[in-house]
Order: sequence, then C-alpha cells, then structure tokens
Amino acid sequence: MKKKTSSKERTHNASNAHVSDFKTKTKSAYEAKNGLNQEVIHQISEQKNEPQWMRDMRFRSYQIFIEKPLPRWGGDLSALDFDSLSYYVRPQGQRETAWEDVPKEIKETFEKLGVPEAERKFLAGTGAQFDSEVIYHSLAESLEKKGVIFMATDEALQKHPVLFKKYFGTIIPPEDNKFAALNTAVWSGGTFLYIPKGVHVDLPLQAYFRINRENMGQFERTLIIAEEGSSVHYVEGCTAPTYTTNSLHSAVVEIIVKEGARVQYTTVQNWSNNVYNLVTKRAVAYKNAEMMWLDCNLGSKLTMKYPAIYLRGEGARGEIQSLALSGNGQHQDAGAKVIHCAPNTHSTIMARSISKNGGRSSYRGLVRVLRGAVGSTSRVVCHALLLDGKSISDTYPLTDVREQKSSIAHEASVTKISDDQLFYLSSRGLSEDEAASAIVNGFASPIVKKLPMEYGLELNRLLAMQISERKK
Amino acid sequence: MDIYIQKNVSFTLAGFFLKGWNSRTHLNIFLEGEYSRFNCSFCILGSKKNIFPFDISVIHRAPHSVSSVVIRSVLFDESKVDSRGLVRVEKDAIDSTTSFSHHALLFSEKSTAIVFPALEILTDSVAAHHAASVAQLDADSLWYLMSRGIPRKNAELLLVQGFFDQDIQKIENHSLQEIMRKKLRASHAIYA
Repeated sequence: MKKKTSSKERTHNASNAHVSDFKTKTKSAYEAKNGLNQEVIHQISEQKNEPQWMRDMRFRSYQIFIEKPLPRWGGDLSALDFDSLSYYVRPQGQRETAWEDVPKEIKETFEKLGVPEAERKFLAGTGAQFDSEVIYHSLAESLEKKGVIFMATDEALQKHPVLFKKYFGTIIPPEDNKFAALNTAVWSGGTFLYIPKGVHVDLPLQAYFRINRENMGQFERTLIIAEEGSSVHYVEGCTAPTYTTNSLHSAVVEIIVKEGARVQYTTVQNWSNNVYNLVTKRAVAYKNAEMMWLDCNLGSKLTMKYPAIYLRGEGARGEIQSLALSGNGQHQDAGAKVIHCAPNTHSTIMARSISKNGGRSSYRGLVRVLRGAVGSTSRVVCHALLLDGKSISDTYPLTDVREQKSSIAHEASVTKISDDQLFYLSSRGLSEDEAASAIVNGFASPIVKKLPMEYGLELNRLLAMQISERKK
Repeated sequence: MDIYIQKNVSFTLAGFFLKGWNSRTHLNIFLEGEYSRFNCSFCILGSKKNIFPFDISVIHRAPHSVSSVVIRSVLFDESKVDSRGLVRVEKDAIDSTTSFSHHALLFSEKSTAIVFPALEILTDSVAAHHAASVAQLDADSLWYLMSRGIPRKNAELLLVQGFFDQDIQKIENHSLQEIMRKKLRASHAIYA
C-alpha cells in the first residue's frame, strides 16, 4: 500500500514555480562557447565519443537547420537569438546510479524539487538531467531482469547500438522541421526506453529536466520502443530558474507502440518565463496499440508543441489530453495531431486552456483521415477559459477527411468564469480567490484526474497558486 | 466580398450551392455597430468533380454583436469542400455571442471535406463556440426508413433533406426558408 503524502510534504515537484525558481552554483566540466557552428557540433560529438554515423547525421542536420526558415505561423520567434545560446554544458561529475554519488550542489537541486523522494515513494525508475547531461539514472532491479532498458539516450547509443540505430530518427527525421533538425544536430541527454514483448511496467518511470545555466539551449532526445503486448507510463517534468535573458528548450520525442502495446507519456512542463519551448513529439501506433499523450503546459515564454499520433495499424487508438495555462507575457501555442491511416482507428483529443493576466493560449490541431481508414472515428473537444479581459484565446482546428466511412466531430467553446458561479461559491463563505480557484480546478479536472495522484495534487496546488495571482 | 454591418442592423445571408468553382472565394463580415447581427446559412450539394473552396471571416468589433454561421455540405461523386472559417472577437466587442458550425456528409468514397473553423478571442466577456463534423449517412436511420418500405434512394433523399432542414428551419425569415427548401427539392436529380 502506498504511503499517503501529507499536504505539507513535497512529492516529486515538477510544478511549483516558487520552489523551482532558484539557481544552483556549480562548476561545469565543459562549456561550449555561445553560438552554433560546426565546431560546436564537433565538440559535442567528441565529448560523447560517438560513432561516425551519428557524427555525420549531426552535421547533415545542421545544414538542414541552416537552410530551413523559421515558421511564419504560431508564436513570435523574432527575439530568439540562436547565437546567444550555449548548446552544450556538461555538469561536473559523471552519470550516477545512486543519489549519494551525485555532486552535492546538483543533488541538492533535485532534492529541493522532490525528485529523489518521489523515486523512493512511487516510481519504478528515475532519470535526472542537469543542463545538457543526465546526471542520475536508476531502474528497479526487477525490471532490468525482465529486459527493460531505461537509460540516457547517449548511453544507449554506446551500449545498444543496433537497437538504437534501427529506430533513431525514423519517426522524426531531421528534415521534418527546423527545430527537429536543430535537435538532431546538437541533441544531448534524454531518455532511451525499451520495453520487451509482453512486459508491463506497473509503476511510472520518470525523467526530470532542469536547465540551470543562463542562455542555455537544452536539446534532449527521447526514444521509446514498446514491443508487442507491453505497457509503460513515462512521466517527465521540467523547470528552470528565471533569468532576464532567454533560453531554448527544443526536444524531440519519438515513440513506437507495436501491436497490442500501450504507452502513456505524461509531461508537466513548468519552465520559467524566459524559456522558448519548441518541441516535436510524435508516436506511431500499430495494430490494436494504444498511445496516450497527457500534456500539461504551465510555464515558458512561448511553447509550440503539438503531440502527434499516427494510427498506422488496424484498431489502433490514440488519445491526447492537453492542459495549458498562460499568464502575463506567456503564449502557449499547443495542440494535437492525429492521422488515421488504417481502418477502425479511433482518437480522442481533449484540450483545455486557461488564460490570465494578458496571457495567450492557442489550440492548433489536425485530424486527418486518409482514404482507406474505414470505420475510423475521432472526437475533438476544446474548451478555453479566459480569466480577464486582457487575455486571449485562439482555436485553429483543421479537419481533413478523405474517407467516406468515417465519423469525425469537433467542438470548441470559449468562456469566462461566470458571475453566477462566483456568487454561488462566495455566498458559501469562499473568498473570491478561493472561488475562482475552485472553478478553475473544476475546469481542469477532466485532464488532471488522468495524472498519477501525486502529480495531480501538485498540479492542483500550482493552479491554485497561479490563479490567486491572477490579478497581479 | 466585404460586408460591414452597422448599429442595430441584422443581416441574413443564405445560399444554396450546386455548382462549384475553382479559385478560393473570400467572404468577410465586419460587425461594426453595437447590437449588429449576422446570420449565415449555407447549403452545399456537391456532385461530379465540383469543388467548393471558400473562406468566411466574421470580425466582431462592437459590443453586443451576434453572429451565427451554419454550413451544411452533402458531397457525392468526387466533389470536395474546402472551407476555412475565422471568427475573431476583438477587445472592444464585449458581451458578443458567436457560433460557427460546419457539418458534412460524405456520400461517396472519393468525396472529400476539409473543414477549418478558427476562433480568435481577445476579450473575456464573450460566448463563443464552434463545431465541425464529417461523417456518412447514419446507417441506423437509413435502415429504419427502408424497413418501412421506402426505397433506398428515397430514404437517402429524406435524410439529406432532414440534414439540411435542421438549420434551414432556424432562418428567421420564412420566405427565405421556403426558397431554400424549394432549391433543395429541385436538386433531386443528383440522387437519381
């Protein structure tokens, strides 16, 4: 039986803005000079002692990155200065499997965030990334014995080269978009997760990403392969301290869900408000497979992220739950994409967004049903809540149906907190802030309740805190 | 085409489209005056290789403005509808109400519907929603009618009429309602 956490105890804390807003004073083992050029890429590959094919891929991707223009849609990228960023910072120490061996300052960072505590209480394994490298990784022994591989992506490249090369870049090639090309050129860290056939990982596996340095670019690369009949729930959290200058987080996540397998990928993103969060996430689900993205975006200056699922096998199912909170100076441009490629595939997209203090939340989605995807169904529901007259909500849902024997439905609404609801709760003795907080938590609850309990509690706490600041 | 609707003016636009066109057309509606209203009801009956590419933008600029856009498409053969809608409620358009919907029925394997209803809301004092759906004729409803002795083609015709009529009956102007129904009845040849 799991130990209950008290309200005062801090669990894994992916989501508490005040707790995570601190800087760690630590010396790095290596720091690349600011700016991106072939020399930086060469140094990254040298530091990691990579095989030639990876090095070649990095250089090829760099060329693609230079040639592709910035997207003209979505958020404002005009202030993003690629030359001001550092693309690789290796923290002191090496990758450890025991917390006591992690360098003191870095260990204290993650202890403040509740990561080791969370691992002890309710996780099957944990990875912790500090700036460009994974500094800690562990996996329950029972899972290792079953053949589960859960390690830093860099390590997987060395230890499982055949498996790695078979899947790396196959779902999101560098040509996909400018930021996929950038990530492929300078990727470092991230998670490699392989679940063998028929293995079920009952407790979540977690990775925590921390940007510490100023003007930092973090480019983790995650690759998850779930073999037939397996299942896993992977959770990631991200935070950074607030600086006056900008940082960039541009990750790529590729997931392969084979026949009959199930993968849930949960993200609780709470980057500080100086971080550009530009991420490409895509999964492919085969016959009778299930893929779920649970995507919570609370922080960052600008997030552009559209988790996608390609339903390639008959009977495959996809679900995307998206929660976005955007406050003063923030733009959450998030959404979902589902492509129905095979018969009898089903998808659900539920997106909820909350905008306050002049924040902007945009839902950008695509549901495409290709010819031959007979019997496919999809339902998209988007709801937006505006907490004041300064905030903005956008909805851009594209539905493209080329198969007659399918059924696709979409609905969306934009509302504010109703005066009647506020009056009702206030008349029951709640203050206006408490009432607003209760209403917002109720609005977000269909998505929050799909999180593991401990994460849900944290998220509710953070929402309450953010809402109480809505007039500031 | 740009249409500017002034204070206290109500403007209704209804259209029944059988023949497609090649280049994208743009309809831009600006609700400039307080309590201005815009109602739009489009019925599209596509056949052969007709395509219907169009944009509709409804921009709420004034308080208490109301808009309602309903589009229904039934597509046969290789016909295609490619519609992009944008409803934008600007900062000053407080207490506005807007709804936008596009529902399409695909009657053949080669028909295509691309539906893109976008919303941009810049004020919190608004009631806005939109909806879109693409599906084939409901098999249960078809079976029900056929089991009552109605031939398949006639049953399909009844269901298509009912599909369109859900929104035709909401047009406030009764004369306009009758015109739309008459157009629909006259297009029976498509079902032959």
